[in-house]
Amino acid sequence: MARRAERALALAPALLVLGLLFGGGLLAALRASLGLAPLALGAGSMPGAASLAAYRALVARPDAHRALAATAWVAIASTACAVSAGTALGLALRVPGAAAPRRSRSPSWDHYGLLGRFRARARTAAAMAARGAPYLVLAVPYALAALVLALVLAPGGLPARLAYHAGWIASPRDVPPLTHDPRFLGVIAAYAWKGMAFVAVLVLASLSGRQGHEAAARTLGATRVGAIRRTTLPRAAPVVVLAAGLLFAFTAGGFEVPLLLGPRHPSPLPVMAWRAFHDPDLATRPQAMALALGTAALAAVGLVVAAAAVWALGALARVRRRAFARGTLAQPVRAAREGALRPAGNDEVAAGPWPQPPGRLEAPAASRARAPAPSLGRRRAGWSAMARMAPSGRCLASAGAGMLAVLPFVPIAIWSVAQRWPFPELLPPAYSTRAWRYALDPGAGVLAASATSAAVASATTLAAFAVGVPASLGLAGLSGRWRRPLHAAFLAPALVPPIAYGLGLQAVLARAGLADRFGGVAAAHLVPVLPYVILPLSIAWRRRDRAAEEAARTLGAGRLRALWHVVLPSSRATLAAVAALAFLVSLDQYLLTLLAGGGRVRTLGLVTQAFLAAGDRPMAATLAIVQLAPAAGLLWLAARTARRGP
Amino acid sequence: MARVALEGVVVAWPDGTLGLRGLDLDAPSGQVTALLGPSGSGKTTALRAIAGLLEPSAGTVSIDGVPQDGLAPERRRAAMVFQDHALFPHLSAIENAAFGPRVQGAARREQQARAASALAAAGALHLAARQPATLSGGERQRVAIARALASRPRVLLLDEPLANLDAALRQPLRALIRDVPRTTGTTVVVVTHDLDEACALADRLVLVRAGAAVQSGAPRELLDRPADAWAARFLGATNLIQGVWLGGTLQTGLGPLATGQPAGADGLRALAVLRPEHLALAPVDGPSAPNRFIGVVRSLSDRAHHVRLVASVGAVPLVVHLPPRAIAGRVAGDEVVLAVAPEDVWAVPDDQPQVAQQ
Repeated sequence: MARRAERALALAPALLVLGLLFGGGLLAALRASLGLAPLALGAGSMPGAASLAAYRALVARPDAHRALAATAWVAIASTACAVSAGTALGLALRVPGAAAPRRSRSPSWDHYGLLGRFRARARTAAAMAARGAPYLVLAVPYALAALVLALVLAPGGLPARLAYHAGWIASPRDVPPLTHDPRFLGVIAAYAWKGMAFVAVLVLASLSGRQGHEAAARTLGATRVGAIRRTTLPRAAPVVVLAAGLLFAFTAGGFEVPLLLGPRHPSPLPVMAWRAFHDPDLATRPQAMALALGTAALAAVGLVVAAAAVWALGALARVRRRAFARGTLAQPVRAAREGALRPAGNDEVAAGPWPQPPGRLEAPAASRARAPAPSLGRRRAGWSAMARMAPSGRCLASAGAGMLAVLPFVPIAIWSVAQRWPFPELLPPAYSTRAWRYALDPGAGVLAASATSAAVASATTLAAFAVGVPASLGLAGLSGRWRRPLHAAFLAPALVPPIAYGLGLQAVLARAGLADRFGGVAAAHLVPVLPYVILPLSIAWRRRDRAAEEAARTLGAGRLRALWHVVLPSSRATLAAVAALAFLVSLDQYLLTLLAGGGRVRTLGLVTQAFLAAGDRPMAATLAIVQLAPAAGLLWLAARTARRGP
Repeated sequence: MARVALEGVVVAWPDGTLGLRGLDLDAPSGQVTALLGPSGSGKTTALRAIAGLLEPSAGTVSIDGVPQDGLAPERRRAAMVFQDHALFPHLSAIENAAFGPRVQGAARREQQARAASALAAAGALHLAARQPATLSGGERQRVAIARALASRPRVLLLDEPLANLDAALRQPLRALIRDVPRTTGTTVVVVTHDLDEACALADRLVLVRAGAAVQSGAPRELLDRPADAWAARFLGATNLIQGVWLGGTLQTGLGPLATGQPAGADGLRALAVLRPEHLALAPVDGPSAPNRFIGVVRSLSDRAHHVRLVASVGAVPLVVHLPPRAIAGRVAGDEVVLAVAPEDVWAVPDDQPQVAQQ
């Protein structure tokens, strides 16, 4: 009983915070969309009975239909690109580098094998860099990704310059517009780039420590590609499908990327909701709220479809398994029971010597194998080129994938030190440190904005840990009927698009006197950050090795002392990684900062967008690098802590 | 039938360390060959080289006299059973077993028949519908062996097949592995660091140390005739007595020892290898014979299959393994006479530093 009360007490603060901010925001949006809140008042109207007038008005608006189609197009196209590219990237990076024996001998002058060691170290470093690339891209805030791609894909960007020098185009106007274009190509590229990293990281996580299965499959007769297809892909498939659902939900509800890279008309649902919310005509506010909730509904559709697909995959596997077992348990088992096959340990174990499969003799490549070997089974011609790909080819594929993840940052780095960079020059004719000097000038406001960003993210992380760590411990201890609903409750803020609760949350914060203030922004950030603290930690607590904790208990430590002196210190690496994640998620909150800060809490993201809007590319690029620094630094710190262990 | 041979196989890791330093190995067809050696000696690396999971930096792996250089693992038909089993977690036991036939392009009914047959042979047919996560260690091992057997390999490679299994599970698995060459004609190569396991399983032992073969042959041959002191120690000979060849006998702290091997040159230092199970108690008043020593019992301790007696013969301690009945009534401090047949004494070159004498 005491244990149950303890858990309830641990869970209560997080539930209260999420109930007030997330639930309150959604409820306020719902009430406003139904015309029940003062927030929704139009000129001369009073709150009265609930009405679906806002929803009916939206259904009648042709631009709302176009917005829905645009949202669905962006979500589906970017998810498809991200999933295919991310899965390929994850598979290319799945094998840690430098695992194969050294093939080439050191040159005769290299008596101590220094060259070989240098090569090995270089290979290891390259492999680590390639594996780190998706994590770096994942840590880039969405607003920053939009900014980076705006600089890269804009007419006159680096690809257009390369195309000009290759003789493919005569002027920047020959390149189809990729930013602010009606087909949303720039938006899709930004989402696909980030989504690719997300899928690759999930695929890598799902495959970690599974190289043995591929090796086993190879010794049983599977080709390299066959082994991946039959052992690795089936393991990664549910993760990939789930990632597709999450990406669909996220892109459907995404705000900053279409705002910065998309066309003005048609705009996706979240941007349309934002514009309707800020319309001087207050009568459109119920429609803004209805649009925001519609966005959430569309995102939910994606998640439900993904969940159904995962279930269907599992069900299909179960059905196939049963069918296979049924077929098996017919003839051979009868034969076994009748004595044709006997269990091990007896004198006569199995049937006599096995017949060899009638395979054709296949001559291996003359340069590699010296003698023929019997071929086993069918080979798929389409895969054969990939199947022959040597490990060095795989290294190249990994390097290419890593470059794809990092390449967009190259023009950013160049822009930040360019005085001017006219088309079609491949490199700036003149360089300048103007942007960097301005960024570091205390009077310019950039440093202050950086400090505000860091302060908001730090405050959010601290607050999230204060309520999230007890909640994660409480959640980890749950096993009954409350576990799933509470998991869902803590997961929801990460899945529901911020626009859905953000508009209502602004009203909640205003009522609490926190609107347009630092505290309000940190409180708003707490909503999307808390799931990223509570859920990973609760999983870590559940999976932890309890031996050390039990040893502490047998040595006289109480539960709290064991927790404080043993469990938390031994989970330092996990806590560091989760803190880094919370910090980065807070930095990524562009829309909530705008809504809760009202433009008065000026974070680095807002300042950068202002420079981009003003057309000052060197300044925007410099600030993009400044924004990237904490992400890279925190990732490095988390990786270092994880390597060192507790 | 497939003969596996490794000639001068070298595996150099990228950091410059050597996994194998010119390993020579001969695994005759239709027999069980065990690679025996301490942890880190390169046994598993050798197995992976045979399977084609790594390409040697130098040397040749051949099966049936055909060099396998550059040949992909799936074309060698050398199925490997991994130490951690590496069962595919998304497939049931029967689907795991059917994996080999499936990737070889067998028809569905044949897949089912071969998988069921192999599972039955491994005594794991009742586990057919189970997922790997629900199986115990022994059950997983059986399914892993069945999976390898169902692929009808020319060579079956087993990496520590009986490690982490309790004694009750070891016996049937041992019988299963030993029967594989006879029933299927498959050549079996087993990796183990356990001497008992190696002797129980193998027709032929290859003793591996630091990536190279130290000695190979039938298990009894290795036990009775170790190549050097390290091999003798690793093969369980705990009594290594320093001595010097003189006049055709080995002069040791136990006295002169007659051996079953040609004498060394006079003055040559050697270690006399006396296996504990070869020493026996002799009657105190028995006839005078060579290789008899009078000692004092220092300790007696029970083991599962024998009693371990430690006696001092002068300043030399001797470990003796005796059947429990043989030491009835003896206690520490008793005087005993120990004897060993000359053919059970084997001398190896002395690898110990010589003590400086005044």
